[in-house]
Amino acid sequence: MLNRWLLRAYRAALRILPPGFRRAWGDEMVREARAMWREASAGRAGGGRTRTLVLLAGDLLATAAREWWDAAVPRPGPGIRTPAARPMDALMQDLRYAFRQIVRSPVLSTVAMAVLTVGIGTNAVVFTVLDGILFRPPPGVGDTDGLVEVWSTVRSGRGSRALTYREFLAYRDQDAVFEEVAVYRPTRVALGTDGSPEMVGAELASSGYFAALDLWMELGTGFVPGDDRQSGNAPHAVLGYAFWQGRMGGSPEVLGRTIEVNGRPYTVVGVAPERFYGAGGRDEPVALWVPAADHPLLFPDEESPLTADRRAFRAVARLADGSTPSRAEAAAQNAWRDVAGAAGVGSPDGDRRIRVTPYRGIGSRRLEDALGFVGVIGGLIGGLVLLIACANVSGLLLGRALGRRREIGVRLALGAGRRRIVRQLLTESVLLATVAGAAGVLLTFGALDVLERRLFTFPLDLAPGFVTLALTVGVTALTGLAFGLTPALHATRASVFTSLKDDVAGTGRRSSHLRDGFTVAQLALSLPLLTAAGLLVGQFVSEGSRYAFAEPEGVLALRMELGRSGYTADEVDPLLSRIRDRVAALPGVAGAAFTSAAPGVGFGSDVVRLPSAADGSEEASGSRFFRLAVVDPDYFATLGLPILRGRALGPSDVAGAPLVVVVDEDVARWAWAGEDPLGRTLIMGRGEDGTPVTVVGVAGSVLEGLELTPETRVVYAARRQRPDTTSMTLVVRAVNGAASSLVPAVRAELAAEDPDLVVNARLMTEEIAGSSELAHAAAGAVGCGLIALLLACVGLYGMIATGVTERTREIGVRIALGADRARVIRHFVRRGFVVTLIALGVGLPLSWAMIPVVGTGVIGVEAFAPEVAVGLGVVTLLMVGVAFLSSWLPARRSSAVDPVRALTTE
Amino acid sequence: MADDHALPPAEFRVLLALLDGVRHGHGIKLDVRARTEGRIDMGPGTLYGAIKRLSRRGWIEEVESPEGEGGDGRRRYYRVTAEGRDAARGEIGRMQELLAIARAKTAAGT
Repeated sequence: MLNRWLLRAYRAALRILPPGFRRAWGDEMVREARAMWREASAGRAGGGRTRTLVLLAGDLLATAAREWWDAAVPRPGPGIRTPAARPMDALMQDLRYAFRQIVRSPVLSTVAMAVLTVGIGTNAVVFTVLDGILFRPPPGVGDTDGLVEVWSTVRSGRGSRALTYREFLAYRDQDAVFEEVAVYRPTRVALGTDGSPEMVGAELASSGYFAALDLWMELGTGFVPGDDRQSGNAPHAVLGYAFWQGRMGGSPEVLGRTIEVNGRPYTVVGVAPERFYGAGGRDEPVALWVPAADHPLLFPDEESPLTADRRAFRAVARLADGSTPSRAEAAAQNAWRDVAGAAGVGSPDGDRRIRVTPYRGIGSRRLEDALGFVGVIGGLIGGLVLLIACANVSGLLLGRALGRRREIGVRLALGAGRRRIVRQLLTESVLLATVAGAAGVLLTFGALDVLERRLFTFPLDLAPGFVTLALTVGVTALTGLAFGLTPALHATRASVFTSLKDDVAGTGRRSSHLRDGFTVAQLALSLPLLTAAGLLVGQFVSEGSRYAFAEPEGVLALRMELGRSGYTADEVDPLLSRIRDRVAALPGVAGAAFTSAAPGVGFGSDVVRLPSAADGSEEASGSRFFRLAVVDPDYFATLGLPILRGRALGPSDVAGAPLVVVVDEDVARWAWAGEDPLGRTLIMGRGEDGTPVTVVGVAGSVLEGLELTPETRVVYAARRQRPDTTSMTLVVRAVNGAASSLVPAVRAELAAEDPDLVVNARLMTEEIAGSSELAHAAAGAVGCGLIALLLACVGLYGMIATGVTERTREIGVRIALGADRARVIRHFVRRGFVVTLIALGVGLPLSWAMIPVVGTGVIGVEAFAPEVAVGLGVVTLLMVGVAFLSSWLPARRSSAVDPVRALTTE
Repeated sequence: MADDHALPPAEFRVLLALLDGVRHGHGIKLDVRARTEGRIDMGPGTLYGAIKRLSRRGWIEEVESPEGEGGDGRRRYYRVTAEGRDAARGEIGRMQELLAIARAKTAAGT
């Protein structure tokens, strides 16, 4: 009959109510509903029954809502009528309870919190670094509010983003929208303080530059309006901090001093802030700022960027109060139209659009290449580490929740809603995560402090900001929910409590599988992380010893731009020989030699190639080309590169003699693997008209171990056989390693030879360090990899061990029933191994897939290098070892316990 | 110390219904319906939800089904407790106070 079905439906519908309420009042409600229905049926026509149905449905829904809310927010007990601050009361109760639970198992809680701290901290660091690269202006810049870049674009996408000087003047007049507009242009000048000029990085800047950027000057002031006009005598210049410290002793007396820029006198009016590397986001410090208008004076031979319609300047600006970027754009666009019209510029530029966007100081091109690396790897690492941490802690908490299942079962039976208990467990995990998050923030501050100085060679503003903190809080909350949810839901499932008395059977198959799943996930995720880190570790263990030549600390590198100093090709060779002889004769100098390329100093564009590539097609990969370094014969001895076969270059290798080269061992291995390279022929130069040269020797390679890039395969030619190289570096080895003390003496010799010679002197180690920013970034990745290793091991141990400890009672029973102790232990060890093997089965292929991504994509490693296989093997063994220990030790301990005590263990 | 948080209407009506005797759930509902002339017809969920909350406050309690009344052994009977009476009195007093204010204002204004 209809009635029966309807009643059945009603009873079924009661399931939407909280289980506690349903159990308590469900029967009554069904009875009541039946009475209502009977009444409605017996009474009037169908209208009454329909109304009753609607009423019942509505009542059920309303009650469900009310009771679920009530279950989540318990009202206080007898007699108390309190104001509706109840949600807070429940929360406080949950927090107190959670705190007690956490304190009750200190070891597990500490481990869980430590793991989470590392996970959250790592992510916070990654966020901050990415933020620093992508969003923040460089250090030293003051107020960034209203700081914008002004640039232009044409629809076709090609064409420079830079501005012409004429445009700049036009925009600067728009003082309705711009408070200040400034342009700058990177350049290099010869900067001298009392003689001995050296080439430095500099910027031409308009007078509003320092005001627009709101730089916090270290000393003095920036340019003032009026510095734009070329003044006759001693115009103003601003020094960079690093140069001021390094070459002028950091003395405050520097203000007002006269310096020579490209031979012309300038007056120092200020020193820029520390770590300000110029508005263009360069990766080396700017030593000097000079007024842009001085370009014709400083570079008389170059075309002036001021008068021509050359797009030679980048612009920064500060918006006026109340102005917005879009209004500024509109104003600039109008100004541009006037400029374009006045100049009679034709249509190619006609659709140029002026853009005004917030200023991002990191614009150096090399960084954009590195950005992909940092962004991808950083994000990957941060995410992986956090995932691992979550899986780890989930597993730990699951174990603990399962251990409390009797307590949970009792509470459920007494009518506590499952929701309530889940909420309580979640409160525990969120509390853990919060504490971990707070600790993680502290860790982040410390880590960023270290990173700021060590990681990147260009400065980043890595002060933890609001973004970091907000993201950390968000990550913390999500983490707490994520790793708490699964254990909480799982532990409160009704089927876990088939009987409160039935503990001996253990936790049940599904719980074990879930926990094993966590273990597998953790291990599988850790392995690729470790692989990536391992690849990079192989390279960057220590700075100096990467290079196979001895003691780079004792070597000076002096770069000279001979072409700039006005020498012709004929004069260069005798000059270099004279210089070398003079320097080599100095006391304290063990040797000196010229080279066109030294470690850390870049190569020119000359190449040497194998003859079989002479078909004219330039192979894009460049793998058949080797770099050419033009050196003095003493170069090998001075640098400490061993000659492995044949001979070094010698005094007999001069112009007119047979053209010879020495290859390094990488080239020999790559080109003629295994065969004798002596006597072989290479072609110097590209294209059809290369020059054949003969290999007469093999030298030790400059880089050891994994190669950074294929470019480091070097072929050495004698300087006298290639006299047209004008950019040379003098390599000087000090007798007792005190290279920096030689600098004044060497400079004196150079000045005696030619006072206007422009020389840059640096230690070889500085050169090497300066060229390895990726190395620094990779070092960060290494740190994270080690963290992952730690997490993986800790987590693995924790999870397997708690799994075993939990089954102490089962172990006790087995032994009490006569099982052999050794067999019981073996059983658990075997289980641990199975789990580990599954994890390796998932993780190793993932790691293998990582190798090409990290290897060739980033550092040019050829896949399946032996070092990588060794690294993976070590990691695998480590995992297996930890798995063994984490099963064996607790099993041993549990089985050693008196069986009676084991049976009565909670 | 009447505070200003009113008892939800459903609970108040259930409480009132029990002031003059022991009833089971259905009986409470009938009483409420009768006294409101059919206007208020509580659904099962509303009814037992109110009963649950009142019991939790300690204002009503479940009792043995009274004998000799044709009492249905399966049904659950309830009666008001001393605290419940106090609470009812307090609630009534609150309402009277409100009513007095309302009367004073409407008499004067209009």
